[in-house]
Parts: sequence; C-alpha cells; structure tokens
Amino acid sequence: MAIKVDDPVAFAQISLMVQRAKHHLDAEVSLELSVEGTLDAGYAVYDNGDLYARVDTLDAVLDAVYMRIYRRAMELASLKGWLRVHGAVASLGARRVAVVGAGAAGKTTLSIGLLELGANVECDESFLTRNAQVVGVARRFHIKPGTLELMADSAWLRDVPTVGSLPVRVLDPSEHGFGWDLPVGPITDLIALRRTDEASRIEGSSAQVLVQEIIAQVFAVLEPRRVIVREAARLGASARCHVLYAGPDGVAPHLVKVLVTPPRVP
Amino acid sequence: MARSDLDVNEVPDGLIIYDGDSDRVHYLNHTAALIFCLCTGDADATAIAQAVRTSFSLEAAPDEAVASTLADFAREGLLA
Repeated sequence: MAIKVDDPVAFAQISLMVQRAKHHLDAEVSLELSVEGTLDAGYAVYDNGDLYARVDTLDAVLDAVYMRIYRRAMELASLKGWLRVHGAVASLGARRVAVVGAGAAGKTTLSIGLLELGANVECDESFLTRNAQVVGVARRFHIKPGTLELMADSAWLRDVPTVGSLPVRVLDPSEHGFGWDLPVGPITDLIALRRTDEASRIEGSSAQVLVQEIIAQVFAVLEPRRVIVREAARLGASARCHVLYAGPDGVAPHLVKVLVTPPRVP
Repeated sequence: MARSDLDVNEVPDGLIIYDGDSDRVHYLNHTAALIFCLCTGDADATAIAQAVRTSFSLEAAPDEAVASTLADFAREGLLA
C-alpha cells in the first residue's frame, strides 16, 4: 500500500497509523491512496485516483484513510474465506492463544500485560481465521484512557503517541522494544474473556461455549452465516478452551502465562 | 429422520448444527449428538434408546430421555 500526503500535518498523523509488524502473508492487492489539501482549505482523499471523500478536519482524514484501507482489506479477506473475529492473539513460547471478547472486555489491557510478560502479542482488536488457521489483523493497539488508568505502573505507555484529537494512544510494540510478528497458523488455546469486579480467575471450558462466543464476536462482512458457524466450530474444535474472568487486580495476564507455560516443578 | 440439508459441525463436546432455513444454531451435547446421528430413518425410538444404552453402558435403555430428545429435535425442525 502507498499513501501520498501533501500536507505535512496530515502526513505526520497518518504516519502514526503505519505499523511495522513482521508479516508472513504475501500482499495480493496494492492500494494507492492520496490525500490532497490542507487543514485550512480542507482535504480530498483519493483511492487509485478516484475521489473517495472530501473532509474538513484532520480527524475526518484519518477516519477516511483508516476506514478505506481496512474495509478493502477485510472485504478481500472475506472473499478469500477468512472470518474476522473480535479478539486478541498472543504467542508465549510454543503456545499460541486467541482471546475472544466483546468491546471493553479488556482485550487491550490483557494484551499489554502479556506484552510486558514477554509474549509476542500479534493483535489486540481482531484476528482472521480460516480452516482453524489464525492471523492477527495488523493494526496498532488502541490504548484508551481506561487502560492507562488500569496500568498506571506501566509508565512507558505514556510515551505512546496519540493520533488525531481522540485520547487514544496507538501502540506499535516494535517501537518500544517489543517484537511484533504476525504468523499464520493454528492456536493451542482459545479463551473467552469476561470482565469481573472480583478477583481474576481462569476456568476450563468447552468448545461449544467458545464457539458461541466466537459467533457473537464475528465482524460479518460478506460471508453467509453457515460459513460463520463452520469456521467458528473449526476454530473451537482446534484448541483447549477456557474462560478468563479479568478483574481489577491485574492478575489476568499472569493467569494466561501460567496456563500456557506452566512453571516446571523441580 | 435427520434432515440432510443441515450444516453439521463436529466439536469435541458434541455437534454444532446450523439450520439455514430458520437461521438458527443448535448445540448438541454428546448424548444428543449420538441420538441425532442415529436418526437415519432405519431405527425407531426404541432401537435408538438401546443404542444409547450400549454406548454409555447404562443399566437400562433411556427410553423417556430419548423420546424427549426426539421430540425436541422435531420441534426445532431438525427432522425431516
């Protein structure tokens, strides 16, 4: 993908949406976007030379660019049989965990916690699955103010830049000393993430419970429902299933780490 | 007899069945899955109950439970 931006202010902001994850899939489609104009005169966004949007604000430019790229990418993914699911994916050693959860369930907070525990966190918002294979959707992690409050001890998060006028910081792990790899492959563990006001805990669960959760967290694009059910069942059948209740104690990432990398007993 | 146009997906704890006509998803545990798989048109409720008894090493055939399950299947539109 190539983006040409005339205005230095818009360029600086759009640059904050670029991520430098290590990809393992070959690019199949090339997008060429261009942003013309200035903050004073307004902006025009073009997709392969065709006018896509005329907007007046920097936030609107960012939204237009972001939505165009991801909408096209997800449509292509859907056409190729990939199902997009609201969730996070992380690798710890030989084990790979997909965490499925609704908005505000705590996926980003959990993801950052796992990052600090040494995991390769591939995504915090959504992943694609097909035939029980999983790949994280390459997008900077969006850290909302609530996450910052919960992770007050993680001072390094305050160095993560914000983008636009929203109080959301956009994290590229590779810019802060962490690796960021996006492998394509199976998972070993599947977790349904739920928020609790009590102490964090993790429990074994069944494929059927997790499949219901996956179906509820699908971003349906073009695929028929039977495909959604089929791919959710394949993923649910492929891994050990658990439910993680994440409380305000910050213990949830540790529970995940112990789950997939149990300490050795001497 | 089980409908042949259903999307049947096997998972470790049973079956997940999608009915395109009603746009509904059905979750069957191991026992219900076994009963469903036995709905081939060749066996009646009594024979199915005997098969369940054998599979789970039960002392008696669970006739009532099987009949109830089959009634559920019929009500949910899973049978032809």
